[in-house]
Amino acid sequence: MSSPAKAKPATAPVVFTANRLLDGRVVWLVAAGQWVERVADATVFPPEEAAAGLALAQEDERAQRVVGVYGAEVALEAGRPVPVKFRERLRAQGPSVPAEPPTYRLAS
Amino acid sequence: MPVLDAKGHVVTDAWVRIADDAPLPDAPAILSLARLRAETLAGRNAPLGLALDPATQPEEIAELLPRLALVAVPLPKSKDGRAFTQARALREHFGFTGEIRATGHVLPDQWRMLRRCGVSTVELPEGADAAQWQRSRDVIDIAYQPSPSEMTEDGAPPAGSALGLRRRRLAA
Amino acid sequence: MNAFVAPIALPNPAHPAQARTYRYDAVDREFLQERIAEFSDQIARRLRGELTEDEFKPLRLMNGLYLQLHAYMYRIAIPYGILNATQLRQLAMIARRWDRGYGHFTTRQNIQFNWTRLEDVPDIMRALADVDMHAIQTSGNCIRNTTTDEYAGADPEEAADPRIYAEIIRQWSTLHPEFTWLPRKFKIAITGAPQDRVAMQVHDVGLVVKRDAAGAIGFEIWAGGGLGRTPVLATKLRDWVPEAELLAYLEAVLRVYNALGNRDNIYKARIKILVRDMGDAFRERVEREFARLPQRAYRLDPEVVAEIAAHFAPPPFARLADNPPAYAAALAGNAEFAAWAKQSVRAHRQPGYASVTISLKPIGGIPGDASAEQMEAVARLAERHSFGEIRVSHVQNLVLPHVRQEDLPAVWQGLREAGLATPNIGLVSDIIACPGMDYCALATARSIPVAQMISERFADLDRQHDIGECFINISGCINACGHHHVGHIGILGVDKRGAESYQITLGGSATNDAALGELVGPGFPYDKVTDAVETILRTYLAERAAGERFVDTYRRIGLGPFKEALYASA
Repeated sequence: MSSPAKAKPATAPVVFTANRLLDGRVVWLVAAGQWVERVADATVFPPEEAAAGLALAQEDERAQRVVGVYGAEVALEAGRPVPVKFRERLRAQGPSVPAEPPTYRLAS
Repeated sequence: MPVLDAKGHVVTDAWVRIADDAPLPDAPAILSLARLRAETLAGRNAPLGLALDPATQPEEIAELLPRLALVAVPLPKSKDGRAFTQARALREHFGFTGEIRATGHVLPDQWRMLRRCGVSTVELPEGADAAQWQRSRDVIDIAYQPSPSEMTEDGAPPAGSALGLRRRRLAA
Repeated sequence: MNAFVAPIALPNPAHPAQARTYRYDAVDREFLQERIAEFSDQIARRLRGELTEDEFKPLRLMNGLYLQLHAYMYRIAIPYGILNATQLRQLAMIARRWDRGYGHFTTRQNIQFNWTRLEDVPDIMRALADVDMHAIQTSGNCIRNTTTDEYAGADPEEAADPRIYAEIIRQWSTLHPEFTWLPRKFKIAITGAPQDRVAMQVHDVGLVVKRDAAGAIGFEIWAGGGLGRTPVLATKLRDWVPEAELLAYLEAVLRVYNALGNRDNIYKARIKILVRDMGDAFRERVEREFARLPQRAYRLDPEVVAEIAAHFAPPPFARLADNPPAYAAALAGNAEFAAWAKQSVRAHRQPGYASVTISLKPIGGIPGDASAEQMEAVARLAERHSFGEIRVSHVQNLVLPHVRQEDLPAVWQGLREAGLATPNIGLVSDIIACPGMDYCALATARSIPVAQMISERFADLDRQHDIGECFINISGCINACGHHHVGHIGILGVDKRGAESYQITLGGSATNDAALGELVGPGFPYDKVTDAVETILRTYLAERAAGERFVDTYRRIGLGPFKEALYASA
């Protein structure tokens, strides 16, 4: 998994995301060693602090807490971060189709 | 670097890897193919080894094999499995009976399969846990395929190891 | 563990006695337990930091475990798509206990769960092993699950039974010492029927098992087919490889690939690129390798074939006649049943029997998904009516292979109660779709909701019947897991400046007349793709000659009229 934020310097505020090693769930970085499941609660790093944020996140990758760290650009809506890219919004929200057993209607 | 021998023991390496521009010692020495081809080997008694490039096909070195006591097959990355085929071809097609040594980024989890392809030893990173290598080798002791090391004329499993169909029990 | 254990076949009372799956013996079971111990140790080392993610990733992939967009995804092997009822019930149990109550059947005849926790995997592996199942080599750069015809052993036209050889290849490829670290994944498909239902020509190796005039078994061998970024149809390497030499020939193909396949560029690493780039030299090289292999050591002995073949002997069919009164009466008296039977019931080699295809494509549903309850309903019907046997098809449906024709009304009723009687097999709503961006970490666009929108648009069955046979295949990225290149209508979702865009190809086929679809023109945004499909199908209806399927009309008139209809107003 990669993202432009990893490859080139960020130009927008970013949050850092990864999957938790133990259960694979999507998490967002708050502070060293601290990750949350809601992007709204993630720490927003201004572009100039993105590199430091990434280093912080990667520290937890080395400590076997998370896997596949990368930065996602966000916009602030009502003071809360919302990912800019569609893929990252989907990742933050979960699948756009019901992630539950299929319901069915009997043929009429 | 330490070497894992065929029994799973860590031993000190009797061989030295010689850079292309370094003098050739009168001791077991592993050379590149270019160096080996350039070297006048007449009169040398100390054992010679060849460090294969991952892209080199064993047939390209067939004529050198009688002079070699060791061929090193490299895994530049653990995912790069060309060494498995190199080793197998050396044993199966060219009847090479010397040491085949796996080098590079080898995982303990690959050792059992390397052995079954004819690899005899592994060059280990410093501080490697030999016990883990043995555990990883021994955890699975059933195979569904023959191996050159046990290859009888008709492909039958060695005496006492047959498990029906094409399966066999691996020796410890 | 190293003590000699005699290979005794242990009948497992938990398995339906008559289902023709390969029956594990004590050796196979011991092997599975060893594999569980190995992967459990690898997980523990990863959690302790002794394996980096880079080192662990190929190991977990070879055990079927992906890290996807939202969670780990666990892909379980269904060897050549054959399950017995006990196994399907266990999959339902796993779905409920360790996942979210559903599973997704794939185009490789496997099943995957989307919400697996790494720490649960050893427990799930043990639950699978309880019913002789596993997730070995369902991912990774190794030889994957060999796929075959979902009607194997039931098809009236079948020349030879591919299941026997699929099982032999399964055993040969399981933890193959030399071919577990290949340049890329390696997929083998095998068919024994004149009608190719396995998409043989888009596999790394495609095998056709056939008989010569004397009745001896041999194989046509194809290599270098594949979809993805560079779609290629396979090249035939040999018209005939005798049965005894099958494994030696496969060894030769794999050995050339492992030695020479591209290791530097993941997009050029599949065997199709090597075959394409080497041309005839590839075949020559394989033949040279084959000639120098110690043939006797790799020989496939007739005794081994016979032993495996015994697992796939015909179930104890009753002597029945075709078209029994109960079936004929139901067809005549119940239009809904008749509509379902027309699409779902297929002729069987045994008089009085039929194969039933179960649609996992309800209108507006997720193609290939089944709930735990549905899996249990199918298991129950299989036990009652199909010798306890179930197949998974590469178009993501299920099959009850051997159903008495007189039982068809009861089977239909049972399926109907479970929401599994959608009469759309082979029609426009029988869509292949990959998980797309809703689940997959590689995807560039969503697939599932596109399939849902199209299926809703054509929900009217009369309309679907009017359109007739038409395969729509949808992939959410260039890797083409949704086989878009070989759909009659193929849809590929890409990212276009941050928005989902869908490219449409026409005229692909995955069967005997295998062809890659042609791009019709610029892509369509998410909310316009259903309209585009409708325009294409309206164009077909307007242009078709009597008796023509969509793909026939396309082949006759070409892209022009479709292009015109789609883009003229733009």
